[in-house]
Amino acid sequence: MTTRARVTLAAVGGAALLPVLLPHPFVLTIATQAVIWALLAASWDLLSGYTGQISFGHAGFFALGAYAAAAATKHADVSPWLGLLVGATIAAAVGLLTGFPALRLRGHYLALVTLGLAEIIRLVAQNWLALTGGAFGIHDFRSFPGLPDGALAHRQAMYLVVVAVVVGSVAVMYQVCERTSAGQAFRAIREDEVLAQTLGIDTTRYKLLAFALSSGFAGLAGGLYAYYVQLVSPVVASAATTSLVIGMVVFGGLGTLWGPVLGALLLYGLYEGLRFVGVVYNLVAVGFVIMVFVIFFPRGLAGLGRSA
Amino acid sequence: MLELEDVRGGYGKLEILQSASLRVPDGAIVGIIGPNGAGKSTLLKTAFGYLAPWAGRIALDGQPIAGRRPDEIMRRGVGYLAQAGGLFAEMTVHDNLVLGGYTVSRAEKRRAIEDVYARFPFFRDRRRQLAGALSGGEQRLLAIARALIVRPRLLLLDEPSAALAPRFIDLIYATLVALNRDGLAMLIVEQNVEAILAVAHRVFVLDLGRNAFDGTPAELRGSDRIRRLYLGEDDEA
Amino acid sequence: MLESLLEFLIQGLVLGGLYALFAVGLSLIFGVLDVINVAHGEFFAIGGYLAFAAVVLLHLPGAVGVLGAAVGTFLLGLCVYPLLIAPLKRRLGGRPQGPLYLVLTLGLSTFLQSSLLAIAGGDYLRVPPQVSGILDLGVTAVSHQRLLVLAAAAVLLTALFAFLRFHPEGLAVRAVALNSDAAQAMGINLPRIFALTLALGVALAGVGGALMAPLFNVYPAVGFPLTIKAFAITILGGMGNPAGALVASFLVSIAESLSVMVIPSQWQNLIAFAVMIVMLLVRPRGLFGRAVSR
Repeated sequence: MTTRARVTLAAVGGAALLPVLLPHPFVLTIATQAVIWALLAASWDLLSGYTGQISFGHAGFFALGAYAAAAATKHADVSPWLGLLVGATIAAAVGLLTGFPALRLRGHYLALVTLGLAEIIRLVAQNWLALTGGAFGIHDFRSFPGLPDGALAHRQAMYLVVVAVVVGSVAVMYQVCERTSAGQAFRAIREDEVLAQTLGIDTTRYKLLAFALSSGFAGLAGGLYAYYVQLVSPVVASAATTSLVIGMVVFGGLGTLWGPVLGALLLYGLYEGLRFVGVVYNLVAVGFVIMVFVIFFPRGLAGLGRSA
Repeated sequence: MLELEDVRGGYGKLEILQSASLRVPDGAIVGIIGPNGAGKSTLLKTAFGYLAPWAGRIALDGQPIAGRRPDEIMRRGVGYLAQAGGLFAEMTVHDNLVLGGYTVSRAEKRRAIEDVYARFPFFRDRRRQLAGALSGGEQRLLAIARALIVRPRLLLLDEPSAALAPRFIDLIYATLVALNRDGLAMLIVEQNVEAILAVAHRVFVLDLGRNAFDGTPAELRGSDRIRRLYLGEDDEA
Repeated sequence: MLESLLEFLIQGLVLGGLYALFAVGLSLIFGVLDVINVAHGEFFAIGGYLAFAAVVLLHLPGAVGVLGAAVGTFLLGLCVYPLLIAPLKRRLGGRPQGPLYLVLTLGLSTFLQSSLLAIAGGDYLRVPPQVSGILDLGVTAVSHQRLLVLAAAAVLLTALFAFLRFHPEGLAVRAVALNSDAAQAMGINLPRIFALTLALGVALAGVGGALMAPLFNVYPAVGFPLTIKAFAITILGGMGNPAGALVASFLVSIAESLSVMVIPSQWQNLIAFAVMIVMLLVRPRGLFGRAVSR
């Protein structure tokens, strides 16, 4: 790992402890959600940044995880700890299924198919009342058991739980992407898929793996979100979610994993911070950032200062 | 008329031209030959503005044109004939010619297209056919006819004989020679060395992105080294 | 039964006009620039806002509102290529990187939609219809406003196709879509054609937005559902084939309209996406498009 990455992670780690040391309910709220978005952004980067399969449907997997976890806990009384696993598994399974047809598509066709899929998920969430509660969504389900009761202490504990899960997940993803042959395969596929095949890399297997991992961790983020916010509605599957995730990754730096984490924390902090200040321009800033960074800073924050 | 001096360039990060220079005097036919990958087509594309040179000087009639867009260079009287796919295959023969006259007035366009039909009656017969349905030789001729509509002073041709039957090669080169007699200058990239040596006033040999030799066809044929390296082992000049 | 069929058929036809205004522009932009304009719906919304501004704020007649929407979105559209797409193209140096342009227009979409939210607020703005009254066709009744949309679509799209077919500049646009290198060799100024085409495409959406404003109301996100549906339509018709998009628009609108007879209406929207996904898997080039190499 580069020095830059080490320093950044150390700084992020330090910042992560802040809400614990200086517990302010609003800060905790923003921090917890920002960390969840960091996981979501990292999971998108695995598929789109590392493996080059640009997906516009990430919100769909996020929603699948959230709904599956919430429904499991509400209707089947599954413990939230297990519910996280349920959400992640279901999202991963659907992601794997998506991977098969996606094998044959490239470029914007893949992006559009994934967008269509996410829209279908959103429509189902909106209209299948029995399963998803329709526009009102799923609520009234319990969150993680065993956490302290006081309002502030509860939030702090929740924050720590989320951080623990996210850090663990990102560590796993990082390990896969940077330290295993799978990661090398991902990057080979991104650079030149035909070449990768001629070099004997089983591109099918690795693309499917990327889809499954990416959507699985997105589903995990969805489960965390469900248990944290205690409400899951069709909004989570909207294109705005995907848009925000893509913005975070582009901002942080495609294909670096730690870049998107940083990008998510900063962008979400900016987004919510601006909203708190009463500015309506928060999403405008996100759109602006996406455009400027795609054109001028393709490597994102991760690439700043480094020559192309 | 056209001058390239010490041109460096390529695609993206791939350097193809290291130092290429040549001159096309007014009204002359100049050839470029050399092994595959030498950068011949790249040089032509750079001269016409499809690629921007990384270094070096490109001048047309003394005016610098390096970095200008192809349509700007075209408007200064230069025509470009691609090696393959230069026509609009999904458009009719007639529409291709109309597009050839994009930069001139409607009256001029009509007159010029009538000239083409007069000179090549079989294009008139086929004018509603899709250009892609013509044979290889007919397509090449159509491309040349189209380029002539705006009365260029210089034509850049990328392997005009590629993939053509011998009788079409003869026809194309006879046409080019006739056009040259009327004052049209040409810079021709060729793999078919015999064809270009027969008509060129001067030939440049490009190898690995830089000049290896230049001279008249007679001088090229006269040099054993050049004959062996670039003209093949044939001794029948 | 036949009456129902006829009724839904007519409703589908009328809806098709709107889809066509949207999808043809989108397909044209892709065909010429090779860019999928995710922000297309925002120009639809802007058209609605311009109509609102003209009619409700400035008390100008409805027709002026529509004209203003057309001109306004056209001028705004002229800025997109030179300010956003051209710089990205310069950086990428001609390597086709479709998804990156998608991300760029996604950013533009977010930027425009949230700008509208910031400037005009999120309220649903009401715009009076440009024409009032209802046409009674026996089996069904169609408001004159909806018929206006269909009529406008017919007129504008006929003009567009005539332009592409007969006018020298239209020929140039087609040439650029077919073979941009050869087009340049003909003396065609690529940046100019790109900017012009994009502006034309989004202006069509802007007119649609102005005409639909009385029916949909005006709010920042009004165009987005249409955008996604338009993706499905253009893929069905063949991305880059405006005529295909025209046909596909009516195929989808009529299918959606008729589907209400067999499935609950909330699931209508699913049809377009299901069709798109099937199309992408089975025949990515759509019904009328050229073969896709990727």
